[in-house]
Amino acid sequence: MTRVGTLVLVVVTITSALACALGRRRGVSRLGAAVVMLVETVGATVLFFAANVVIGVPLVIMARRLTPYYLTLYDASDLTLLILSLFQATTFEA
Amino acid sequence: MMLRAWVVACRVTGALTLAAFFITAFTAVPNRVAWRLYVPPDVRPADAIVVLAVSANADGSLGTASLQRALAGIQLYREGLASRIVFLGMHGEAEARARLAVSLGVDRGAILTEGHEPTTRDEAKRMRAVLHERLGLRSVLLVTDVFHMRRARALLERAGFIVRPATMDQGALTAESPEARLRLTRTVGEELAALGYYKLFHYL
Repeated sequence: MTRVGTLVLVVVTITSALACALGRRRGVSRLGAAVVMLVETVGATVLFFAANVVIGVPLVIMARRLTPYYLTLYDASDLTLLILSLFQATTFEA
Repeated sequence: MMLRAWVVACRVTGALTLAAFFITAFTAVPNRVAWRLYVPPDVRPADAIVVLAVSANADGSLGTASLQRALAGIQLYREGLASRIVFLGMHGEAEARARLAVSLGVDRGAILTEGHEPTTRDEAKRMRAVLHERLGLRSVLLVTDVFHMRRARALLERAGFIVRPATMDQGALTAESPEARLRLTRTVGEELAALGYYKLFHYL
């Protein structure tokens, strides 16, 4: 583990412990359900992202053949697609 | 039933993704995978130096990666390793690199520019037509980054050249911080996908 990696994990552990303690003091103790929701949202994001890429790649290939514009296949995995996939996941998971 | 399958798929994918995230960001696995792409440099005299494209900025200026490759090619030329140097790159990239080379003392007559090839495969085909078939050149010193070299070398060898890799930026194969490892994973993932795509369509 690198120094930066250790620092990141220590910081996140401290804030998570504080949030957990604060939640318990206020009578909120649904950590298990929250973790399951996190896992499901992450999974849904990845599945939406995969679907977006699977649809995006043929569109890029078609655009290359049918229009004068050149798109690279990397364009079908733009970072914004992952962020929009997260938005899709949270919307459709709700 | 359908909803249940979706929830299970989300949970399994989510658990695997979170595990992959922690392994990627907090262990040296991305570095080990990246090193599998490594092609060691073999810098020896050749008929021509070929500097592959990256991309130019919207205003026609060279971005960092393009500039790095151009400077590496110019350095090889100035060391006397070839009598010709080819700059590739669309949207003014090749010409901008040529102007840079002339300003750094490269003979204008030794420079070739090619600016209409959008993919590495197209670049290899163009080099075959220009260097191999028209000028009769057989060996090239290939300048590209460490991630791209394996695919680029294979394509130029398939185009009939003896390729001497002038692999750049080996340091990029090792990432230390979690953020750098995630970026490395993305870069390696894109290159592995490109290799898979080229193999799928028998370009390699």
